[in-house]
Amino acid sequence: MTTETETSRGPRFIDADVHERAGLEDLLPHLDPLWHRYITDYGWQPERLLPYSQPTAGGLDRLDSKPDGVRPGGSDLGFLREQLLDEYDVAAAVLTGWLNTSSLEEGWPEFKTALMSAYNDWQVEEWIERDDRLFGSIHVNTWDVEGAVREIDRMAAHPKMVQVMLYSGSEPFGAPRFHPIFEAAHRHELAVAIHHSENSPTALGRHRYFIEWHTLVSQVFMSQAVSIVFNGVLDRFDGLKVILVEGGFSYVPHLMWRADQQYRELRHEVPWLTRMPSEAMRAQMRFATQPIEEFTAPQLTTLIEQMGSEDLVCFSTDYPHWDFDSPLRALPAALPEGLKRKIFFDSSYDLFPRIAAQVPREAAAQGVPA
Amino acid sequence: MRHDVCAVEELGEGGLAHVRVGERDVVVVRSADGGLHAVAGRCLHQGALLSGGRVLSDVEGERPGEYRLAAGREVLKCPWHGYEYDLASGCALFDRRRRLRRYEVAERDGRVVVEA
Repeated sequence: MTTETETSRGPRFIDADVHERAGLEDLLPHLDPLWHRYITDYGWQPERLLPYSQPTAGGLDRLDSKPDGVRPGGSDLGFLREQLLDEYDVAAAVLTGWLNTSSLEEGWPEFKTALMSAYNDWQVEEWIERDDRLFGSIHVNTWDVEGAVREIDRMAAHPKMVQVMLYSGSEPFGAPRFHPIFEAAHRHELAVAIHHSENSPTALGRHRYFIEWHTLVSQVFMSQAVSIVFNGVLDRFDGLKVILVEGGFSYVPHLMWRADQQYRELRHEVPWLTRMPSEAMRAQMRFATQPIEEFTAPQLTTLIEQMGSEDLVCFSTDYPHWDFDSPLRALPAALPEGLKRKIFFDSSYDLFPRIAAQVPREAAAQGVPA
Repeated sequence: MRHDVCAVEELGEGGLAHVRVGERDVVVVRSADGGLHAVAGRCLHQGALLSGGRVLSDVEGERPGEYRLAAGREVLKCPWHGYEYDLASGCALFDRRRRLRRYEVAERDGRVVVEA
């Protein structure tokens, strides 16, 4: 159980993955009336391809995160402030959303693009303009690349939007048809975040049990990283940063080693690459920590050494989901102070220039590291 | 010191030949323009004899999905895992800091010879 004594010992940190939650009805005031009837009268709902419930105390969310015991976690700013921002003295939190139509099946792209615009406006009005610590993600519909670019151009004007958000279904996002999205993010100096979803399959589909699917969540991130690296996204948009959110990072050394090996052997198939894959990943990819495995300090420092850089990992809680990682308990206490500071603060601070422009770096020092 | 490789007519365009130079393996290659190249004969990776590999044109492309044959740039490709070396320099294409040693090679009296 979290106590006041515990929280007072915590590090001040940037949270790279916090889920605010809208009901579809919340989006109506921000949605072009043309589309209202499809929600109000015809009952549109985003499809959920996961064939199981999440068999936890509160389903998708921490049971204690539901504002009145019923509404979803992350649906009330006051309660999120109380339970996360104030409880853990968060310096800045990046909202990563709930509804992102990129993870849905293909079809009806106009509606889905309009829905993303409504979601973004709702996020600005109800969240990021109501708390200095909250920063936003520009949600886009990857099934309509032109519309996605328009949405990035529209929303990038807001100084608290720090990244473009793509939720993964089963489309690898490195494919050239998606490059205009990366180009638009690059043009606005925004990161691109890729997040998994309940519609992300494993390599063998969805398996019999939730525990199997959830164990294998990192697979979809490996696929997305490989797609982005070998399709030349990082070379083509030099300086663009891509962060993979909610997949942990223990797969990264394996992926770097394997991608480098394959590049040495099969380079001619991807002649547009200018660097070893691991070099490109270290320069331009970042990884949010949650859901972090339960490492000892030597295990975690070894893993970081194997990644070849201390600057790649950004702490994230994934609040309010049931597998929330506490900033007080998720990382081993005996980590070197310098590494701890990078994971909790510096890596995200360097990744998001718009946070750096609005949160003083000294904010990290205001907390006492655990 | 000269090391005999083969008769000139035995090494046609794209041909490869193996020769021992003291304790070392060397591969001799006839490129498409008729030139001769000689480099260390075992792959830097796992030591396969490169004389069993292929000589191919390099492939280039700046944008994803774009492929062109690189005129005049030939590649020696390892028969095992496909490591590629620039024929002219001996450098690995994936990392030019890794390089096969080059040897002097010439035609003398109807024979291909490596001088080392």
